Amino acid sequence: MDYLKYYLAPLTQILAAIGFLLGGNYVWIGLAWLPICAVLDYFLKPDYSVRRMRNRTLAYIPIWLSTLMGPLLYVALAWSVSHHGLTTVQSLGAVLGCAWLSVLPLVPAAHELYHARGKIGKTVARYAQVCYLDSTRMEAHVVGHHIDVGTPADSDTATRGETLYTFSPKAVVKSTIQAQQFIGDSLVKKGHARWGIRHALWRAILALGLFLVLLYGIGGWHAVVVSLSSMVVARFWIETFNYFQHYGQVRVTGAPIEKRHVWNHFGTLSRLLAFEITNHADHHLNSYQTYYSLVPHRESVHMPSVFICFFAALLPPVWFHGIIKPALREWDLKWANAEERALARAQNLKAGWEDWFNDGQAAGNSTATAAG
Amino acid sequence: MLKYIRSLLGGQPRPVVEILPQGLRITLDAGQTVLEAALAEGIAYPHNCTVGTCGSCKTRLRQGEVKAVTDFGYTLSKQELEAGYILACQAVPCTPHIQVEIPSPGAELPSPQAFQATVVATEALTHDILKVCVTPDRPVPYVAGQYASFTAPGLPRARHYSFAEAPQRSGRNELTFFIRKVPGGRFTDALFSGQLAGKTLAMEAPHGEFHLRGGNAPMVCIVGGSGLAPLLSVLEDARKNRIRRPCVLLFGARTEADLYMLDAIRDIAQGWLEPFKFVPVLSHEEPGSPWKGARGLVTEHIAAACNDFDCKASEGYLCGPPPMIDAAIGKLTELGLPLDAIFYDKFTDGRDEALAA
Repeated sequence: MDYLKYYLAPLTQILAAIGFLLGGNYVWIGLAWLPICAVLDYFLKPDYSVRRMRNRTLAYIPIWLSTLMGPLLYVALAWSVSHHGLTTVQSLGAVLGCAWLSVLPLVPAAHELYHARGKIGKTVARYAQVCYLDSTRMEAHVVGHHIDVGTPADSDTATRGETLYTFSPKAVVKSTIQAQQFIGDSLVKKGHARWGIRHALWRAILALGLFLVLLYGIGGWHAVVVSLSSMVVARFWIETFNYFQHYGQVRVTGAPIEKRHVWNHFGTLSRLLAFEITNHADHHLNSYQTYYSLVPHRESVHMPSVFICFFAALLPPVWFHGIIKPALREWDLKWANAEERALARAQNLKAGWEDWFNDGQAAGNSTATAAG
Repeated sequence: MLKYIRSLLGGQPRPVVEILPQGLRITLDAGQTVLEAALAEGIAYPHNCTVGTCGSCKTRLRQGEVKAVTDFGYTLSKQELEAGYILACQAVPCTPHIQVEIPSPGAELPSPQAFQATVVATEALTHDILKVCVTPDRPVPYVAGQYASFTAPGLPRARHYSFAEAPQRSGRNELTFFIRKVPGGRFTDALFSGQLAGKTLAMEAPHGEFHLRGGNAPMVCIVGGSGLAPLLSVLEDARKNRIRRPCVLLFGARTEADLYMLDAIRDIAQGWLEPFKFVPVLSHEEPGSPWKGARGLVTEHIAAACNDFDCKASEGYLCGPPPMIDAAIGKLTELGLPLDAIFYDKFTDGRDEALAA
């Protein structure tokens, strides 16, 4: 049964692709998954179960399907806009639907493949990410994010007080630049030119060019413009997930990464559609583990589903007061160590937030002694 | 090409990895990395991020060839690559037999360099120990357990203080020291009175041979006074690298008010992957005080603290005043620890007069 659950992710993409092929208001199917999943995930109980899956090949079929469906969805979109005479509103729905499915489930599916060991999987994942204009995401994520999470160097960690609207463009620029630097640094160490032909950026641009040529062949310039619009929207949309998965976390640079340093989302659909990327703590601690081997951190601060967090993040007052301040307050007082509490307090004060360290609980923690 | 076709058909024998210095041999499944296979076998292999970024599993490839799942060049320096280092978490053997060696943390002690370091913050940890944060003019590389030498303007001689935090791969930009006030000491008088706040000092670092040795022997750590600094650095670094060694930490102080950094010790204890026992021992606590922990000299509690593991197979790490270290060495050797398994850093009185005497 556990194996079957994860087919929900490619199913959302396949139905959306069928919607694009049917045209008319069926093009809304892709975007419709967002509110449907949000409502369902809200009413379903959080899922803290450990998966009983052992067969890696079977477990990776939905991962591969979702990764491959990413570009195929753009092919369907290109065909749709050139064959169905969509209205402006329908085109907008198609663009947003394709962008949404490029975020979820494509991002976590590709993420699983580029964290895995297979060279073919890594390569396919790298170029499937053309769907959100980020074929060097692997470098920014693996080389940067996994070592810098919770510190100022991390492009995926939002500072307290920061809204989605300032964070998202900044994260797009910073992560893109970081990826190119990491690749260039590695080339230089091996005696190659920083911006030589070996730089992955050139292959990423070539892949995008070829993909756009394909889309042009299917639907002309209109298809290219619509597809590119969807890719750009997806690129920024992805950062909203980074926003609420790491918001306000603090860690002393160089200190060990612990389970507490990321937010987890254990909504039933959050876990399934995101291929356990929301089972976040164990992924950061045991990054070589397959998605179905990750063990939920049950004791962590409870966070709502990824869908609720997304909608809340769009409305900063709702995000701050309804979700993240209560979560950070609990984190600061219950989970943070002394140095982290100092960093957190400084960020709170800088953001103009209330100083919840004065309620005495933090002082209680600081006098605990270590034993055993 | 033939080799590639054979690999597709699964005709290749499973590669064998020999791990030094333990001399262990493991057999890998197809596509498995050296680290994954070692951890699956329960081998205590240093590691942290597992994605080829932190460098904790840096390993020297002695024999055979490996391919990198994620390029080693993202993390290892040009010199490390040329010296044959690999990252175990990203290394998949491509020859039937490979031999790797986990380097001891002290295998490559960095050479000392001259820095300019500015005192940016101080915090009283106890009535006579100050936490001092300095910012050097560039990142300082060091091995956990080493120290830095400071020279203040107008003072004839350098003072030595151990780094209190775990090192970082690319060097640390902020350094922390625990400095005990020496009565009549010109340097610490100036420091404790705030005269050195914001001042830039000449610093030479890193120095010292005190560091964690390789292997998986249980650790008996004994500290007194400001001697906690180097061991805190060692323990924090070991925890970061997920070292698996049973550990007991005895912390000798005069009174409960002289115990400090208990939060940090608690964090280390909680994140330690093997049993970690913390034993604070107070020598001058009032008899009627609420203190329920150990009393007396810290060295009197070594035997009881070590009763959970084979003391003879342990390593001793001692930092603090010379009398405590001398007594601890005596006690540890009585318990069967060979002398060459005891490592220490004696914290001597740094006053000019004391040295002259």
